[in-house]
Amino acid sequence: MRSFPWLHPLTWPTVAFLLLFLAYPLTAILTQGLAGGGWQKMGMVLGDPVLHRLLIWTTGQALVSSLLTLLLALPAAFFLGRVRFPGQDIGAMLILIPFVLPTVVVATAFGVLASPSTLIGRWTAPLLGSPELPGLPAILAAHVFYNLGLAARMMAGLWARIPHSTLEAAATLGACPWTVFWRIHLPLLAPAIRAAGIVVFALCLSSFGVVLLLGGERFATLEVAIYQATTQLLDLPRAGTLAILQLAISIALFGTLGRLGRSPALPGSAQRIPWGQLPRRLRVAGIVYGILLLVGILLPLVALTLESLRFHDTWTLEAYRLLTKDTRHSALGTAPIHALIQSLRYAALAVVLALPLGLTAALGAQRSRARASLETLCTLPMTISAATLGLGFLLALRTPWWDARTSAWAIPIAHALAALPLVLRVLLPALDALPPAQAEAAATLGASPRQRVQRVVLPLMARPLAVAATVSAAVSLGEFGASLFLVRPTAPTLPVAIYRCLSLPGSTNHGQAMALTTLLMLTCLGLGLLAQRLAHPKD
Amino acid sequence: MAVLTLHGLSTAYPGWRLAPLHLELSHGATLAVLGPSGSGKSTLLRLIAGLERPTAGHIFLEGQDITSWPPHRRGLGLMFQDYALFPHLSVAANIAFGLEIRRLPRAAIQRRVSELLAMMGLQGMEERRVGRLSGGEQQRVALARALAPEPRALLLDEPLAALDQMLRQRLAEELAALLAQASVPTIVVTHDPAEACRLASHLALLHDGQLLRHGPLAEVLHNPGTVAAARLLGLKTIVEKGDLAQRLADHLGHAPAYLVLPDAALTGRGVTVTGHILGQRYDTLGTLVAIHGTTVELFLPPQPPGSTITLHLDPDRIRLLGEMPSVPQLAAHRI
Repeated sequence: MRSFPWLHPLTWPTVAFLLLFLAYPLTAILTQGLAGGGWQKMGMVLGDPVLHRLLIWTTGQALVSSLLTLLLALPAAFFLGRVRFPGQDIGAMLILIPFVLPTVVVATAFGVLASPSTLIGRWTAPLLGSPELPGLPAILAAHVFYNLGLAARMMAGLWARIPHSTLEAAATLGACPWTVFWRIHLPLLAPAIRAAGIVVFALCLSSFGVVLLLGGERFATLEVAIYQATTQLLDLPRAGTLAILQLAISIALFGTLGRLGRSPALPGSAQRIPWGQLPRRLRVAGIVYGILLLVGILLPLVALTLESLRFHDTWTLEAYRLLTKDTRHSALGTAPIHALIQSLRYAALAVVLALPLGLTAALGAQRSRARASLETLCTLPMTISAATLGLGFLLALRTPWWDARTSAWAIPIAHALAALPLVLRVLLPALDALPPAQAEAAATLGASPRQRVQRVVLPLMARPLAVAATVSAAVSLGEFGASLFLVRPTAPTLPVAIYRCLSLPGSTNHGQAMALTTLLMLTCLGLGLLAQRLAHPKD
Repeated sequence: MAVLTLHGLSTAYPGWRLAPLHLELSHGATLAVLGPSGSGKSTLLRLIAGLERPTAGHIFLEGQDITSWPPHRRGLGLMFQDYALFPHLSVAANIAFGLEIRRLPRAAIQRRVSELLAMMGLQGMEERRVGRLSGGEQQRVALARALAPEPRALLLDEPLAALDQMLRQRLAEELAALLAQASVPTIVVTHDPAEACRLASHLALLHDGQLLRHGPLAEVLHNPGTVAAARLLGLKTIVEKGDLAQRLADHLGHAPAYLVLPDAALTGRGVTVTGHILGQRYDTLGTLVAIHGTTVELFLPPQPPGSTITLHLDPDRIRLLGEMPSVPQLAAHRI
């Protein structure tokens, strides 16, 4: 394919979209953060001991969360990467379930587990919430739950490719299995461990929904503090300064990832040991670990579902019936079911925005010499925290013609922005994998460049496009942080409605929150399963 | 008049270049471009089809300069080495693709598609997905698809390379018959001399980006002209300068740089030479014979090593080869 100098025109709409809705809001934070109170205000915020405690707590919880995650993910990575056992594919899929769940669902589910008044919470609450520090163990557990699958999959990929012969060579040189693990496995795995560690640390550092719902004001992280400064204290310069700090940390972390996360050159094929050839002790440990992992993944989901089926301590569908009722005490001012409809509408708009932008960007990237820069540019939304993005929208996009606070498009645009990196990750490799010969054959048969895309490339891309659409819809349905900043009071999204219901007392609000969360969980699980089926069809 | 004329066509990649090349393809001709991998033969086809741009030179199609035309406007049919069938379309839809692009009426498309299905012996497979076809069937669908829009010339890139050996020989005959039936001027690119001889009326020999020789099949086969060309054609017994060459040259009246001794030269009359059997090669089953200090591989009944043999070589059947041409031949030769 001929390389277009710099960027192909096909990429221009996406670049313009990113400049307008990502770069411009970020610069607005920088300029207004500085102009609002000037350096003086900034210095005041930065010198505040409250901020120092906030920073120490934010990094501390992220550090503990990511270390716990890595430690607990290591056995999963071993069994998924090194061992061949029955049900492996299902295991690899199960372990990623938490990752497709919205933060609000995870937080609510762990809230149920941490509350002694719920059915399963009766037994789990003593583990998750100590009287002195209510919330902290639940936050850590939710972070581990959320990221364990991701970390395990990141490490398993590299672990699978360590050649058997290397390990056998070490054994013939006199190394016992334990020495082989410490001297061969771990050093070779180091890049994957580092990469997984940085990614999980970054995710926990900018964790918003889990911390806000489980920790409240007492355990506010930097991200939550930005939200509080914006909506409760109405102190935009402070919010801006905090957002600048968050931005600097994110950029530093992803910069480190690029440097440290590179994998060594290992053979491409997986080297797996059949289950039966594992030592007996390892098999027993594997079974125990597998059962614990399964319980750990399923228990929060089951606890949440059961809780949604109970009302006033009896088994009933009352909570679901309440969804259609606009009760006096409702936190929403409208029937909760409207939040579901609103979220589906936003998801459809987000897909309509993200898919064409992602597709044209991917097609253009293939034809551009500056492809690498474009790919980096399109992954940027992933590195920007939700609160930073929401604040940026509020600060920047307030013009007489278009105001992010009142427009129905602000949330779909923010969601499309969040989905764009994932869409590109699905579409670009799929486009690269298409053999050029088919488009060339179409050219020799008389098809113009546009006809080649329409008649050959797009039909062959049908599956990846469907995967990208499903992923975008799931991202949009689950997005919480940015939506909370941008939501119009009368038209909350599903996660925002859940948050509002949860933050008010009363069994009606509680029941509605449980039912809504369960619905959101089932929708996202369904979308995840659909994406998985589309991406790996059975032949 | 020539259908296709290449005038000084050349291109270059880092570390490789196609030397300015002159070729013509006339109506009714099938030209085989024979060359090893890396010789530039596939690049040549892609240049003609417009999938790559030459750095210099011109391509004329029926007198029109199409050098800067995009591929979809050239009206040439190209059959890819791995066929590049559209996996999302049926057999019939693959064949109809080029016709639909040209917005022909539905009835005309159907007529042409069934005509080609009949010609290729693919009736009954119209609705099959192309992924489910055998290699030979895929090849015929690819050929039908390329022929459907009635291209002004057909380009075949290693048409038989994707098939296994057994199928290749049978399908080479079949392809030759189909090409004759379609009567489209054709350029076929191959690395197999036997395949080239079966399919083509004309031959062009390409080596390392250089056109060594071209002309009617028989002419090129009988007189390859250079050592490199003779090797490309698969002629093994090439005698370099030496006593034997000198002896043969005396009979021929002049001293060529190289000689080729085909088996046909072992006739029982002509120059008498004495050789010593060195042994047999088990890969080719040829016998290595030393004649006047030159080792020659001949196909003889088995002889014990060390024994002496008397051979009669017919000088008229010995092919003379010159040096490799250092300057590209600039006159366009009609083929």
